[in-house]
Amino acid sequence: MSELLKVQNIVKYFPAKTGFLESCGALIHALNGISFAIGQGETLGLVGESGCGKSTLAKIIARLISPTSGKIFFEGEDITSVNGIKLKKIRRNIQFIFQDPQASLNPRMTVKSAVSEPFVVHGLFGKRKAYLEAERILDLVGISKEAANRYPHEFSTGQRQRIAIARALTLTPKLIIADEPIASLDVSIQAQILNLLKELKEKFNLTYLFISHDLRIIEYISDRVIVMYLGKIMEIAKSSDLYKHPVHPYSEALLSAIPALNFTTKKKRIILKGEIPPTTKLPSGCVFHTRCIYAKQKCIDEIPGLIQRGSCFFACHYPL
Amino acid sequence: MSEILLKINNLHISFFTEAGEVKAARGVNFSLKQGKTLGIVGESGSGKTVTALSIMQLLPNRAKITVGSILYKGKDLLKLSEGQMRAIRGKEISMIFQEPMTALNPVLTIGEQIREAIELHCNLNKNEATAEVVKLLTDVGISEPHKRIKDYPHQLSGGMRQRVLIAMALSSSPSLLIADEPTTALDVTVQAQILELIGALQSKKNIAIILITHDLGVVAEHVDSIAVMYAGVIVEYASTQNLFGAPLHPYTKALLNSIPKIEDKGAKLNTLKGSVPPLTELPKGCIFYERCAEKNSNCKDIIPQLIEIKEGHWVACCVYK
Repeated sequence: MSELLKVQNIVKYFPAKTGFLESCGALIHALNGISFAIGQGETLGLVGESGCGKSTLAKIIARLISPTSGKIFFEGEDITSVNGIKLKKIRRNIQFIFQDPQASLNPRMTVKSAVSEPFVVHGLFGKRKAYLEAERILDLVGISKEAANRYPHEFSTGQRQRIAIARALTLTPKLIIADEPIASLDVSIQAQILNLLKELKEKFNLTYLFISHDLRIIEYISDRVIVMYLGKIMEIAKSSDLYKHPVHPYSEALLSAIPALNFTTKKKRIILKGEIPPTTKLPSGCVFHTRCIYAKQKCIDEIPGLIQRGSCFFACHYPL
Repeated sequence: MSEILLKINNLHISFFTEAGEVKAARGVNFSLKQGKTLGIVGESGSGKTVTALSIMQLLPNRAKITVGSILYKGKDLLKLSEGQMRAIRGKEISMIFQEPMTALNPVLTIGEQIREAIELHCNLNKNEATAEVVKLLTDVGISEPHKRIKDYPHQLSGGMRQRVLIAMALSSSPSLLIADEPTTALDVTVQAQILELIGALQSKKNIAIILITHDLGVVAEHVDSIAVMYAGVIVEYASTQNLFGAPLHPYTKALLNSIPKIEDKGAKLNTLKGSVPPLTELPKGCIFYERCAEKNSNCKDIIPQLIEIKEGHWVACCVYK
């Protein structure tokens, strides 16, 4: 499997803008050295609790914001600071699906014009051809030709997400970043969209970076999974391995928190104590030590590096 | 045998909108015993929240209860005056909501807000009330409660805010707690904390709980019985064991099937086709007809009633006749 995307040591700080902190120049440490690669045709899942930096990372990869330091490679080419026409070319290859289709579709544009717009922007087709193409792609995601002249508010949330997916597909991208694409949908609709994403992946040989806080969905859709906590990678593992034998204590706790559908066996649950520490002041050593049930002195003193064992990577002094 | 605390009979709730009458709940029946937990599960628009709000009589102005009764300890809540209802709301029956930030007042400290609830319902002076607030915050697992009572809601995390709401709801030792999607806005690890807390408090204080959620996983471990709602009606009502072990209604089956499981890996998920029909144009027969995988010729014309198939297992479906 060839490498489609690689990120190297991505760091992102935001200035903290609340109250007196502003004057003392405090920084939010959103991402603290993230490195990984996505193979061609792979679905890489990204999980973590809110505030762990999942979306920031996604936006950096899509070049919507720039990292404080670190590098992004797409098909071997450094795209960290490309701009102008070159960036436009990259944008064709990396597309984004957002959580809330209500917010990501222009309410004053018909669905057909929203989906045909990328063709025009990138100068691929004239307007008439673009409309025809848009209709074809909408048909692929299950929106009929007749419905294509309607406005976003005339559709249900599930259908709107289909439209957003259609728009992401227009320019035949290689990588699709899906940031919580089904979090705002009902359970029965979630399954429809998951099936659609799977189908499209096979049809167009797509690569997904799939972000979700729902571990069951990540397990279902991903080949490999990255577990993040406080802007750091805790573990990268094959989805099948991770769910059977998590190596990092945080992965273990996260997995044990999934509500079981099986009512007969009460799951052994690790309830994490306390709260996620503020990102303005990261804990010393391992960032997870304040909540880890296995933490020892070494975890407070030394920052664990990302260690490889087989196909699994983990950042822990005392892996399970 | 514990006694029945709450009994809802044939409850119909309608919203009167410009587009016409929206029948949001149609003939809802269930009962809840002292100290037990009932889960109400359904997708958005299934009528779970309006049913809960009708118990508290907090329905918005354009919604009306058209038929039915809500018996709480034998009294029909719908026949009470607003004054009498106020003595029950918050004291006997309290509620926690999905989004703790909007349920809390941003300009009052959490101490003041919980104390207000206590002073309203219990005969305590200010110092006693403050002591009670500290005790409640300790109960819900907030560390350093003496300091925390001076915090404003925005200074707390989502999980902490939900704990504050739970403390407030429990301040008057209610007999019934309605939790409307209490963990939907929270992360999984925090969700596990909050569900554990609710369970622990329940067994300590013997409160009856109605837990409303769209997540079958949340109810599986935490409730005694489950009502599955679809487009304003209860389609199935059973003990948790029966519902997960042997679901009967095609909608319940489809809902359970649409959740990814380990063995599904790589396979296509079974999905429900289409979406919930608009409640302004109700079909003549079964509301689930269009999306049902097991429909027969009767289903189009007959509205199925909730009938008991096995002991304690109720289902509203023409297939089981």
